[in-house]
Amino acid sequence: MEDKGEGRGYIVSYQGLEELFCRLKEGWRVVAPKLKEGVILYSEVESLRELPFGHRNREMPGFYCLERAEGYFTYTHPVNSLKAFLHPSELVLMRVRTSDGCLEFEVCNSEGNFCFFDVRACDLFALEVLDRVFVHKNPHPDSYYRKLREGAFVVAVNCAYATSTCFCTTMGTGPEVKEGYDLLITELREGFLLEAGSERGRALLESLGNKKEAGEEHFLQKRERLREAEAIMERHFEIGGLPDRLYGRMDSQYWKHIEKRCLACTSCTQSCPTCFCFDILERNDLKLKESERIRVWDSCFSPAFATVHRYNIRQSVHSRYRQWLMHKFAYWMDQFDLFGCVGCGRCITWCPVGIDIRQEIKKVLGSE
Amino acid sequence: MRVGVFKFSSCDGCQLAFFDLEEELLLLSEMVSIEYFLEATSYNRWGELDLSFVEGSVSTPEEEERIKKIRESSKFLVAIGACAVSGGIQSARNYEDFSEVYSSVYKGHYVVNPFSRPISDFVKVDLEVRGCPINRRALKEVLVAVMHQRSPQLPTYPLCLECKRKGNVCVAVAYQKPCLGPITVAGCGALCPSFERGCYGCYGPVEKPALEALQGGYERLGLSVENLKELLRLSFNGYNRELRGWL
Amino acid sequence: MPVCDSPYNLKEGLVVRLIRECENVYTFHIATEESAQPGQYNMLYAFGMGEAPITIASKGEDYIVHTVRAVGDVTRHIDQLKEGDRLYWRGPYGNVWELEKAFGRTLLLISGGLGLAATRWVFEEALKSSIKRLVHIYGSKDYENLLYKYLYEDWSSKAELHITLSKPHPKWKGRVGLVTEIIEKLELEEDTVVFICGPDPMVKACVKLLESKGISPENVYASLERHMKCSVGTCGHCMIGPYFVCKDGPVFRYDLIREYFEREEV
Repeated sequence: MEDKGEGRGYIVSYQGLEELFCRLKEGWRVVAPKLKEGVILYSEVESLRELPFGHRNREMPGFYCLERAEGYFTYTHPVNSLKAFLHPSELVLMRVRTSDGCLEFEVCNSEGNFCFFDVRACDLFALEVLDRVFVHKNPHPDSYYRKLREGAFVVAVNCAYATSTCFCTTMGTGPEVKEGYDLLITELREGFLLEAGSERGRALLESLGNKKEAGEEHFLQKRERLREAEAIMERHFEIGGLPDRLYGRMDSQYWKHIEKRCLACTSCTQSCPTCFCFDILERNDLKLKESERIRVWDSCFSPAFATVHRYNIRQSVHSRYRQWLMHKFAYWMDQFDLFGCVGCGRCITWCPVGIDIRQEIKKVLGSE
Repeated sequence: MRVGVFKFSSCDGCQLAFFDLEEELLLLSEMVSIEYFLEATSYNRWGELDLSFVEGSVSTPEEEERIKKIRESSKFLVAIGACAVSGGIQSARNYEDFSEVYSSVYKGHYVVNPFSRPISDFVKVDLEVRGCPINRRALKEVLVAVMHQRSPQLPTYPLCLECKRKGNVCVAVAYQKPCLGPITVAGCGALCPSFERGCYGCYGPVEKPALEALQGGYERLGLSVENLKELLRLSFNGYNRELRGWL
Repeated sequence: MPVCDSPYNLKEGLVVRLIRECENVYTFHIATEESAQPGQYNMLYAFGMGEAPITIASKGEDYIVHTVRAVGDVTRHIDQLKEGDRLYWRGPYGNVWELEKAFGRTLLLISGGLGLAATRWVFEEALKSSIKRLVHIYGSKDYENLLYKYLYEDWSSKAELHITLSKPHPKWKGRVGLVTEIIEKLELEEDTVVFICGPDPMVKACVKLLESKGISPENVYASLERHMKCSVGTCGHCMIGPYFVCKDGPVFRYDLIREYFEREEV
């Protein structure tokens, strides 16, 4: 375990943040939230000014809009997630060429060299989830993910706000950033509290110019900010023993009710920061001399997802919904020792018909 | 391989997808023999064909006869585009009083059936390529697949999946625009949502589209049942088998 | 990090022997010295077509055996290979039949259709081991689709081999009927170990019958077939309940998989 230097930190001004950002830009491809087409999206950014400071995302089931707010880190997580960078929606795995009955393989493995700047607790936890799925709990570690992920520098931010679809407190993932970061920012009244979570984070922090050591009052303020976010969120259900309680409801009549409401459109799985399912496609030229093997995002809601001999084992929409919900909140725990849900609420906001997974879980738990 | 391209009631737009193949078109012309393609060549023969592409809907008595002949002489028949797959925009008349449509649109000059129907209402179709018009990616996929004996990998999943892969923001949620993406087959590259417009369904419905769920969910966007039905009737795919019963 | 560690890297081997089993089904001997165990499978690749999971039907010192039925794009192209052609694959993947559990006991193998390819190797290994009594039941839909006809004589001289067809055929002197009808007539000890591979409904019917004969599902192992794309536990297609068939299976102790396998649409 690296020395995080618990309880130590520095206060910097906005200029201090800019200095930090410039230093990061020197060594990394910086990915941060950015305003785009009326929403906030993780994108590669060139300067700190591109961040959506002073904007606030308002979210409800099936609804998203932006408002103005006082301060800097006034929003929550972006619409997309870091999955888009580490497990790209379309990735060429290899190119295969044929000559005289022999095949030549070119493996397409690219490096990430990412700095993820302004990552909230839920999305940071999602990184841990993906790390386990692709590498740490996978007997055949995924070289593609690993190469994009390896060495990524993470600057996390503590949330002082939550939207109506956030439920990190229920899932136990936030709003407080606890581990898995290099640097942590908390916006306070008189500046930004910077804390290091790794040796390289500490080294970078120590090397910054204008800063002053944080005192006890700053850590108290940090607690207050976090409590502001916590207060917005309701505790929806108890996660202790949740997998077992769900396993006991697999034959519940409840599932049938979702059939009339769910579009099986895949939006929830695609918006999710941890849904990892993919398909592998072959893309060929007309003469069939070269073929690319491409990995693309797939979804358990896709009509051909569980097809065996041209027959999809999960014909009904409700069985696909059950698969998704059970995977996230029960199977995942057996597979990877944590939940597949980080409580970010993206599946709720981005469901075109506003199905709220928190309510559905309550319904299934309350059913026979 | 002998290939034919045929036109029925349509705008000819899908045939243009062949010319869209650009540099690959030359390669293609070396690999296959175009036997029949009125839009492309003056030398048209009509004999046995390995692969036929049919554009357009069947909407006249003459077309009803002609499609049967094409089927008989084709080993593999592909319906291309919304007209051939679902009846096209002209199938909007299937939901109207035909005598009114006939007098106002055709003014008594033509012999036209009361209904504009998809090819599959008359003959067995081996493959459907969706879209208004179809795009070159799908066309190329079909050509590669048929030439190299594999099944074409055309999407059966909803547009939302393709839209999200592309990194788009959902227009139904972010801009409150009614979007038919959730019930429409992917393949267009999420063209409309990429320009902040709602999908209007030109690729036609997915299998078992969740019409009632969509209708219930879109009420909050101010879309009534009648509005949604109107949208679908004008989606160029209004007479698709998956929609007919509901509209 | 070297680029060669992709989990999708393919190996190459020559087809050294080719046997036509029946219409659309061929058995390939592929030269390789890779190690593998009964129950495991490989992902076979066909250029421009994709991959298909195929069980390892048997193994010699310097070759592996795959039996492939042309049902999809990949298998159709693999079935066109000739002796001397190159085959590309990756593997072996998946877990193994727990043969040791049957040492000193009765081992019952049940296979349906192409499922025989999945029980063949473990049967061959069982013949060499300290199994008390070895019974192999194989059901095929018709005479034309019987696999490994050239092995029956040898097999039946060494173990109890019961073959049954769903349909009669003039050339067939043996039994006609379902595999369950044979199981019904067998005298089996309660600690008999059972390995099954076949269509889902056959597996379910067999387990039900075996239970009525006092054989616990804890002693029954089934090799399952599900949609597999990556075979390394990442793509999610083959999930059944909390299990990935590709890496937690394909062989499952029946009592562990039962509640997912027997439930509709899981």
